[in-house]
Amino acid sequence: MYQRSHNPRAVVVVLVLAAVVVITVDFRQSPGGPVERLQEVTGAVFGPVQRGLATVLRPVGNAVGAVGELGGLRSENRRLQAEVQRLRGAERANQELAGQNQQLRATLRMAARCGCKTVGATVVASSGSNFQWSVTIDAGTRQGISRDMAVINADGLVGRVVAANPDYATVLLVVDPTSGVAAHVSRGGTAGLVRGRGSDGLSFEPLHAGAPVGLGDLILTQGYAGGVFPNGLPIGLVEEVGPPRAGLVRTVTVRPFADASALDQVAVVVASPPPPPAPGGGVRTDLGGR
Amino acid sequence: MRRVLVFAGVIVVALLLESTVLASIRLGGARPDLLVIAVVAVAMTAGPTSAACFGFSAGLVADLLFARPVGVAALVYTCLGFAVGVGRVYLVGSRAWVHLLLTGAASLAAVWSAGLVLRVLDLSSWAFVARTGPLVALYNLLLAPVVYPLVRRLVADTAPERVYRWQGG
Repeated sequence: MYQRSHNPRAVVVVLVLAAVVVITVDFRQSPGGPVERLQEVTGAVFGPVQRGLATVLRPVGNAVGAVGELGGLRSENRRLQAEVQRLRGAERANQELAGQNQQLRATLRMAARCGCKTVGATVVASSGSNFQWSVTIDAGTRQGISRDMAVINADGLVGRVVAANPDYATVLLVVDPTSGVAAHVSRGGTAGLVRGRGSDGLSFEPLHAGAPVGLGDLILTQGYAGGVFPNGLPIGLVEEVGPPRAGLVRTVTVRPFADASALDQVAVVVASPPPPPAPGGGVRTDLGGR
Repeated sequence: MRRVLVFAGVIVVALLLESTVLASIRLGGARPDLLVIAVVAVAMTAGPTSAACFGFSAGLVADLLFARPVGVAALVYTCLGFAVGVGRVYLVGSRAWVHLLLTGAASLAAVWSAGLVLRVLDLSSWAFVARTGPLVALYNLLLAPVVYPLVRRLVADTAPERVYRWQGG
């Protein structure tokens, strides 16, 4: 018979209870709550290292690509190979810069579309979890970013800021299952709610059963006073319209414009013009993401 | 104290790798979960108490870093670490492929458990959970031959848990 210095069962019971308490506190906390403050601290600690790693790994990726391409140049002499490699390296760098420039210009056009004032940022890391769709960007409260600001890119709506520290911010993507965005159909103005479905994209739930929604319809954000998202930002296209269910609204599958797996240059909306009067007498449809 | 530092180091390195290098290399849309491999390695080396503490800390930091809901991974990794730690008496000394299989099974269990909790909270779908589990397990099986022995060696180098024997009589 032996006895350990710690009773394993007691330890695991305490830890499980602690986890349950944390889940409950996280779900019930108001903005600026204890768990959110902890998230900000964690982001501030990991952010600079993640950014450093991303900077280090990008050239390594380029170098691997360059080595692969050298196989096709064996017939040329060594000097020419080096020259070609150098020129190709410079060209790749230029192409990357040109691509970045194009993305930034397109993002600015998107911001101009809603008349928003934005702050540019680069995605430095993404969530390593299979159940959370979030990214870390290299701009924070120092650049005027705070919680519940909309984030866009050249393609459309990306998500919203859920935590911000002085230099970095965490962005919850629209495809995250906890995300909910008030939206409307471009053609006909049917109002509803866009919910995230992870890697399955988005779903649009019309507020009223029988509201007209068709394949290929454009889904835009619906702005309202006190809401997070500016009005009229493109979210995605209707890909599939589910059959009507008794007493329930139809579920509409939406393919998002912004590719969650290939985010690079984004813009955070720090100020937007007042939204137009809400359709249907100002029905509030945003669930605030929870 | 040395063990705590090793645990912290493993958690930080695993999370940094997951959020930068591995985040861009997806397998069928799934990402690997290095922390599950680490939790199993700790459980097999240091026992249920250390593994539960490691799992809780790793899950909590991962939840905080990767946005909400906070606490789900902490809950799953705690239970996983404890379960593997308790069951290790049946596996210690077994062949390498048994450890590999255990890591794969633990990965599947971790994803499905987290998915179950999130489904209960209406934050995930059954189809996604069912599809992601095997993919993460496969991904982790590919990484386990590198990560698993490394974490085991790091943890084994620290002081073992103190065990008091009572000589009855």
